[in-house]
Amino acid sequence: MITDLGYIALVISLLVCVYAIATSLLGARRNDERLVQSGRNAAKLVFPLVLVACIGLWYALITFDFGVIYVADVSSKATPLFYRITALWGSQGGSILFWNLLMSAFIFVAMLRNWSEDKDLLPYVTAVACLIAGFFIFINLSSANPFLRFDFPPADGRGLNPLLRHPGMIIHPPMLYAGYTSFIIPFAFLIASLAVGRRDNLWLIKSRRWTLVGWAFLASGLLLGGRWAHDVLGWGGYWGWDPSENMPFVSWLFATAFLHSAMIQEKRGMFKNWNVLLMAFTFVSIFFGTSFIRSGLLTSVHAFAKSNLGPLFLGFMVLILGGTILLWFSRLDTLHSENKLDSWFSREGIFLLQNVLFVSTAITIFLGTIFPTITEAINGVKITVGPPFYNQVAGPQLIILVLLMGVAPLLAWRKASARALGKMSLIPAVISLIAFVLILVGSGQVIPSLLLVLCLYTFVQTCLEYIRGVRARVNSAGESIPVALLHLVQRNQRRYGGYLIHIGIVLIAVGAIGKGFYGTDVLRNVKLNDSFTVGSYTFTYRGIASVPCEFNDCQSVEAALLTTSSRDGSIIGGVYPHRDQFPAQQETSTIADITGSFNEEVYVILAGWENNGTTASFQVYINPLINWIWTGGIVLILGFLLAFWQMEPSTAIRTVPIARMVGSPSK
Amino acid sequence: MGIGTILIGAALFIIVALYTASPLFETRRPAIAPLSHEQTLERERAAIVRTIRELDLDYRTGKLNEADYKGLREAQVQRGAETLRELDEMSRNTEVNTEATADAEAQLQAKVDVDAEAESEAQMTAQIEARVAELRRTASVCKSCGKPLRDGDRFCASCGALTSPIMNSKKTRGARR
Amino acid sequence: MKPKFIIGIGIVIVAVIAVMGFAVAGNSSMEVQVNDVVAQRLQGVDLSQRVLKLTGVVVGDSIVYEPSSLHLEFDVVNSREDLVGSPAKTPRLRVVYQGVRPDTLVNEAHAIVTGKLSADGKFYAGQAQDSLMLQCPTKYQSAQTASR
Repeated sequence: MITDLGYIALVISLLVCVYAIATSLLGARRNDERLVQSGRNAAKLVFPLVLVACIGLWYALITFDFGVIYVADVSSKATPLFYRITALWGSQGGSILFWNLLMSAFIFVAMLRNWSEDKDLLPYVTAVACLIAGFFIFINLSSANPFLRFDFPPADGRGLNPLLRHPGMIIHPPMLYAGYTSFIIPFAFLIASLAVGRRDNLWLIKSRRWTLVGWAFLASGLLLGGRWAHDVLGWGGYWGWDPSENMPFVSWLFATAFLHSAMIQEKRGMFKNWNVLLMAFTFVSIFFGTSFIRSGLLTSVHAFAKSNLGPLFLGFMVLILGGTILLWFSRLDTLHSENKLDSWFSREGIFLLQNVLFVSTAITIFLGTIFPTITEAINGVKITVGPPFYNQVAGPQLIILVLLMGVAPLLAWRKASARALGKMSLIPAVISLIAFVLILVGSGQVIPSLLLVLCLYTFVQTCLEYIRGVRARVNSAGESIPVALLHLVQRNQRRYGGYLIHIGIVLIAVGAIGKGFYGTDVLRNVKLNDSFTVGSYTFTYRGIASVPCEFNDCQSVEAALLTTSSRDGSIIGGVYPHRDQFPAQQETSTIADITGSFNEEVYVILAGWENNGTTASFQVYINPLINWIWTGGIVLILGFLLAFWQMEPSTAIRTVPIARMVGSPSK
Repeated sequence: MGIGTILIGAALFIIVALYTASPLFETRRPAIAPLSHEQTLERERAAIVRTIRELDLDYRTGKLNEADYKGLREAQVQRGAETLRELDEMSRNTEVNTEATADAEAQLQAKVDVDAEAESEAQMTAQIEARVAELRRTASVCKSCGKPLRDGDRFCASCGALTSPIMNSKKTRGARR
Repeated sequence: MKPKFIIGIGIVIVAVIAVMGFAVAGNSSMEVQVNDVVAQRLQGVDLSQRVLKLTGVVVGDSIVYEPSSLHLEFDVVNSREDLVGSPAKTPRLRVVYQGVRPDTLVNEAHAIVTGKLSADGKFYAGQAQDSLMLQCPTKYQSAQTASR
């Protein structure tokens, strides 16, 4: 019954969306607040209704209701409770329901906020948000319905895919979906602002924090996905340029470009048209990303089964994009720049360059992803491009962006001072040059040495920004260093939070370069108690054992290897890669064990064994610096929190009573 | 789907309908308030203060040279003072008087100075006093050439440009009254 | 916008397109199905020298894996339906892969193999990490009938 109620709630939520669209637009047209508030109430209700729907599906999952087809698809009697709960987003129908939950939650929060300053935007934000939410709920009820039932319920379900039992898998879809769905609000604000014909930057300012949150969620989702792929898929890597990885990355790049160019519009009133298009592209790329993967139009490991979602999604996306562009054209006169671009050699100029590069990186990755579809349309043959394509095309663009990150803070608005730039670049340049020589001599490869040194330059420059700021405060305000640092950051949160994010990005880049250029792997077959050496590690094979799994639903064959240092023979520890066999799904999963140091990850896989373990094969990957990626991710999130969390003591600016100081004026 | 489920579903629908329709029973009010000029001005003033603070920070960390810094800052202070003047006038809704101009610029300066990297209180007081005294002498300046205007001037005596629209509209408003 | 900005942006775009062109030339593979490869032709294009991206359905009982040398071989057919046909009638292709046998290599799995057709009629997967990919099994749509 609870599950059925969930379905009813979902149906009601669609009706509520339609109502919200109609009343909001009618209320705007007739200038009647009652209609607008009614629409707002309706929009508020979508979230509780979708939540009831989720509870309904969760109930079915928790109580082993295999009469529901979805439950039989993603769980079985052997699936532990925790994974039955997270199985909500295990397959198509449930994952769209979960998407709707997050989307409606963001709409709910937006509807709750104080609209007194921008009442004119409310009806349009409501209408746009509910239009998009309504579409996804419609999909959820028609072609991706998780509430469908069998005529004759099976005795047991198929069970959750073993690959999906990993903390990364639990949290990666929610993070990614949260990132994707949160952009509905900034996009709705944009449309509302255009519809009303406002000339100011209100939509930018009001949606700024939403965009930052969405950006942070997307970044976390991407990093967590990489971490999951690394830990669970047993291939030593973390990023395969698969379409399902590329599409969120493309959206993230657009969002990053937007965050920066929005700054220019706020401060100098420029790039207005660019920002409209960028926000539209970000949102459309999100739409495209989620639909492309779900429609089966792409050959991908991540692809959902072929369904008829494709044409629906495509049609709606064309509608959204077309509508936005038409609206934009009709409002061009409200989007005149307040200032001119004077010089490339200024903060505006370098932001423009960086924006162009972000967008070109996004477009090239996108083109690579849909390349097969394009070539098929041209001459019937699908041609795909592999990872080397992306490394060769996106790599250089990204490293230039890293370099720009280090140069941009040195330039002032309007026109930068070459002298100042030279002076401030001296120390980092010298450090970089020395480092280049050292790294080149140490590793012997020119390209990665150069790339690492560019990262170092940006890292040093960004750290120097903190030092320069602190020094300025110490000199002018006489504060002690810790106090100066605190005040500096408190009063310029966005800037110094942003710098910390930049440092996080640099760390990620270093990790990617290390693993990408210096990583190696070997395959070895050994007899029992024999050893083999890889790099500075010696592995001695001690045997295999078969043990039941943690949750008692699989059998795990675990190998034991003694790890010693190949230099002096000292014992480092043990490595236990294993293979888990799941009888319910007839599947096995290979889980690596990891040893080594922070800077040099040694990733060991049990590739196979013969004669009950008298011989076994192991694949060992050496992944230098890969842990810098995860560390950089943490720094990135810290930077985001610093930029986002309101720390300013008061938003009102304190004033000194003039009367007290200069005598009262004669009024 | 049992009858119980259908009944509860219907109840859910009714609750939803009631909550959604509740605003419709109030008295009719306009939905779209006209853009409040005051709010726009407030926001503009806050933005200008932020810009000045950023200029100060850029100068102190060595990214701007002195000439550029002084020029840019002065332009911002002028803009801010105008905005403050307009705001002031809106809340008091009287004819402009020269002290209001002086007040406005001084207020802005005070806002910036107190909140930004603090100069010593004495320094700041002296700065403001000097500025206000200066402004009392020359209540307004020509927007085009920066030369001082006398009270009641419609054109700048130095370059011939019309005096600011604010001055003009105030004059006409005073005349109409 | 002043000309210098348009020129600058133009230079960036041209450079990116040039790099893309080179990268595509060196790293592309043509998507083919089992039937195409067996026929050795697709749209009149000779498939024997090109890098191909083959999609097929794994024939479970043809899998041969030698762990000590990490040598993997298996047959693929064009689609699920072909699995039930007689081996003589339905075209199948032998795939040779050097590396760890993936956990998801089971009967009926969709395989995506990047490699080349060799003179001996077998399809040799390439060296790259992703030269053998198998479709994420969770997302299979269940074939059982549904009703509400």
